[in-house]
Amino acid sequence: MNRTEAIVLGIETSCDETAVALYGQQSGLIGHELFSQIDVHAEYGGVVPELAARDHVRKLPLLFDSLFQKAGVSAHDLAAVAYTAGPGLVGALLTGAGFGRSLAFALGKPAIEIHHMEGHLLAPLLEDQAPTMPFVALLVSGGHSMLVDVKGLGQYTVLGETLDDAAGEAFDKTAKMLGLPYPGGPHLAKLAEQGDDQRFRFPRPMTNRPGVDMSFSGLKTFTLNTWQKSDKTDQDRADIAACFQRAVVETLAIKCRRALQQAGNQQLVIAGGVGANRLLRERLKALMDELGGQVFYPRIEFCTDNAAMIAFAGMKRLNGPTEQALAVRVRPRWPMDELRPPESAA
Amino acid sequence: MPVNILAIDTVSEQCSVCLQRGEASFSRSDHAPRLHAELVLPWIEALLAEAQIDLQDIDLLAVDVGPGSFTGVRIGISLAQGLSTGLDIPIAPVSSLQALAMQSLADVVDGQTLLVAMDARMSEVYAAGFRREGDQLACIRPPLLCAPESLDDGADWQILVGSAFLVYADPLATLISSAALCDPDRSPNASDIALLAAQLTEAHHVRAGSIEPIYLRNNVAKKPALPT
Repeated sequence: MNRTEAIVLGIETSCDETAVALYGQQSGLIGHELFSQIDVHAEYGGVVPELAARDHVRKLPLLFDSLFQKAGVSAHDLAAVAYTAGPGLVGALLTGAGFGRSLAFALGKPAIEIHHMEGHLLAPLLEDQAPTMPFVALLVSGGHSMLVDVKGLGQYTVLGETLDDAAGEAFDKTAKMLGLPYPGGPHLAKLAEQGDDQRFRFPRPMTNRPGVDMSFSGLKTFTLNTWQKSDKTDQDRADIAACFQRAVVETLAIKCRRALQQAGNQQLVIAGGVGANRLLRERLKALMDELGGQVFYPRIEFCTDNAAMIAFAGMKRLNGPTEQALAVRVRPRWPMDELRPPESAA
Repeated sequence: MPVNILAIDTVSEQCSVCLQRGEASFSRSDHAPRLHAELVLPWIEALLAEAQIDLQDIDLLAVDVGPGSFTGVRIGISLAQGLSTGLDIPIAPVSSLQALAMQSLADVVDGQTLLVAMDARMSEVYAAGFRREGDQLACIRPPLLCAPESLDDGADWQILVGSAFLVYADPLATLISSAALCDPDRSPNASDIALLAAQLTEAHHVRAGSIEPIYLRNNVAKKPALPT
């Protein structure tokens, strides 16, 4: 490995995964470490922000040590420290930002504040079969659902987003209603494989009118009503899971088609936790085959939150303006279209 | 014995940083609710310039690990962890209640008792009790989280310090009236953190990954009722 190359450290603590990664300008991804807090939050049925922050502060330095030890890299080899500065849970963000900013200060290296969703939409570029910009990105996770027109690095136009629940959130909440364990999304998808997705007629929310915005809250309520009216057998549960999943996937496919049309683009990038959903992947592959375009995904482990995408985004922004101010600032809400390309950012 | 100590305190609404260069002390302190994350590193840079040393000349970091505001506790610790990792130096963790007691040492006569108590919100306090023994304060009531009323358990406290004695002046009225001195305006400060850190032996120094925040309040979320 070339140790004279620029290496960027990425830190991710915006929600319930603590993660660090190293990305080298020539070597690419050098290493990544992740600790998932699923067990911490499982008994509460959802992420408890205070417990998330408590766990980050405990795990982050340990993951850091492990990463550098395995990679055989010293902190002094770093060209910069990149960390997620938003959007996310404020207490969780502060742990990674505080660590990252002070580490950069101690090393006399630049700090780079990364937008978590920019990390996600760049994640497919970590793969061998990577898309080239421009493309349209569907970002679907437990916290976000949006379609973004990506013209270039830092040139993002949000074409549409959810007006209420994120797609992943709808998956998790529906799974909870059906009595599935936390985190429900993947359990629901697994159960759906045994169900009949034609048994009930589920709505495709907000597809009757033009536009790319989404809404999943009503679908969740529809699912609850269907479940309560059923005999609540195992087969009912599986059938309802299948119909729900089909409805979300079809709705997303319709929105993707519109977004691609609107952007005049034939490359679709899927990222975020829901991007790991097998049915969604198959459906969007079929859509892009039909449109004569291509679909790109990150590997499954980089669909969910990780630091590889943050280190990579940091590398992309290494030669742009870096954070000179020593003040640690995080942005729990950070509209994506406020981002700028590294060359032109003020 | 470390020569240069950098101390951080962000657990209360007061934010402070203290740089101890040998016998000389340089510090910044301000009432700055919710601004701690923005203030600490710029203050450190300014203090280094005043003291005319480099960040690399720091031998030991010291940080208030609580109890106090949860977010505040973590801001101080995260910053100390990053600095410790980048500079490859250890951290001396110090409790806020001990720092507050240290601040009041001069007011306590040998043999006298001191009760420190900070508002913990939700009608509770963080408290600890000490007795002066020579130049030291011996902890006679270990740090605890409790209702203010339960501080008044018949024990005789001569000196009372901390925000709890203002916020809960009513339930603590008997304690306050029988004390020789009550000062509710004091809050933990980095100068005392630095002082206490200097007294700690190396055995008490930790690396970034071993630092333990002191929250005292651990019941922070409700578990959902089991589905019926």
